[in-house]
Amino acid sequence: MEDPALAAHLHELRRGSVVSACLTVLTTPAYGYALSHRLEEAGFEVEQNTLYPLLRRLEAQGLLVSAWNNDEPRPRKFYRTTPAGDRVATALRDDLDRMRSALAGLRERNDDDLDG
Amino acid sequence: MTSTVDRYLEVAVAGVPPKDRADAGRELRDAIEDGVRERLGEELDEDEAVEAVLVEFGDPLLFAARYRGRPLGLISSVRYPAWRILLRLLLVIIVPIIAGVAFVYAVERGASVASIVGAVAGGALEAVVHVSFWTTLIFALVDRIVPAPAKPEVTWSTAYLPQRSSSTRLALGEAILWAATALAAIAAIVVQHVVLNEPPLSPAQWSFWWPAVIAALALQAVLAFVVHRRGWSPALRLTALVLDLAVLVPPLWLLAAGRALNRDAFRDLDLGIATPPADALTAALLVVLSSLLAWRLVTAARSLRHLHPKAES
Repeated sequence: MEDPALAAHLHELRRGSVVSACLTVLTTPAYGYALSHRLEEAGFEVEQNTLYPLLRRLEAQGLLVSAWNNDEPRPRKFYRTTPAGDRVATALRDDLDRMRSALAGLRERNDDDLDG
Repeated sequence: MTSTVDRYLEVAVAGVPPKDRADAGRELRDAIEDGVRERLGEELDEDEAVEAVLVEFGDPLLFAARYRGRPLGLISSVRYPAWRILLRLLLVIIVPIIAGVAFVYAVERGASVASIVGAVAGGALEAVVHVSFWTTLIFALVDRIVPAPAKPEVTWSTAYLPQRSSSTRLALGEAILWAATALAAIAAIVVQHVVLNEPPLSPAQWSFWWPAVIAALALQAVLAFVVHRRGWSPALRLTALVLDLAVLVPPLWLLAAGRALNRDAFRDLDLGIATPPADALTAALLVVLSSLLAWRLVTAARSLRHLHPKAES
């Protein structure tokens, strides 16, 4: 991570996958702070000032619903995906998979060219 | 603790529509309190824990901007090229017009050479500031009212490329134009001296300065054809710059000292302006020649910088 160019590219790559990670986690309800911990543990660096506005935006787009849970000693705002959110999450994950295999395909072609 | 958090939240949720602001504030306060509770285990007192959490959460203005969904910039990158093209175009058209108006107004009032030059420079500067400010303001407002599309509305085409030959050699047409300009300037300087009874350029300077300027102009005409034949090299760029200075600096210096023009040539001229015509012409030439000098210096600095990597390799 010493290399600033690499760090910038990784940042860019991960930023694009935050939405799919959020929608994937939130098939089970969670509140913002817990979600940010889960994402961090999974290796997605997402800043708080990105996460909370993002959750609101996804809710406005109808991909998430939220509700205050008052059962616990401390009330918290829980988010979970809507059916539309699940569909978007699946589509995004499929596209990530497609990019991974496309990338592998590109590498294989290069290896073949080197051998040949 | 609460006052710091309150102040933070006030800024952070300012980007949320008013009806949802309380909700967003409550959510963020919970998150901050969760963070503080986690850190209290780390032998921090409460103020230190709050400080650490808020620093981790970052500048609340970022929260506000992201809640608002607005780009973190004055003009979105999609509209930036249009802004740049429009601003340049407006500056090139409007600034000379305002400078000209300022000149006419100053000579009609009978201003001195120095105050004419000052009025023109001030008018030009004011025009630059106004045009830049209002153009940028309109773009910034549009960006805030109509969110920028993901792609530019106007597709780019090669027609937008600057008109310039890619080769380092000067096309024959350009070389002829360049040489002809220099020769025309020489002809004008000589003819006004030979033909007119009272030449506008001061006859006293023929002892040294006018021949020196003529020599530099003649060398420029020669240089045009050398560049046409051989192409630009760092040495030729430098020669061109030196010749530009040799042509422009002496007249500027003589004009500023009031020794370039022959005042007798303008004595009977009546242009209907309060400033003596010789002074008006001095001011006009000072402005035009110094603009030309500034432009030549900027282009020379650019071309020398472009050549630098090549010269090293």
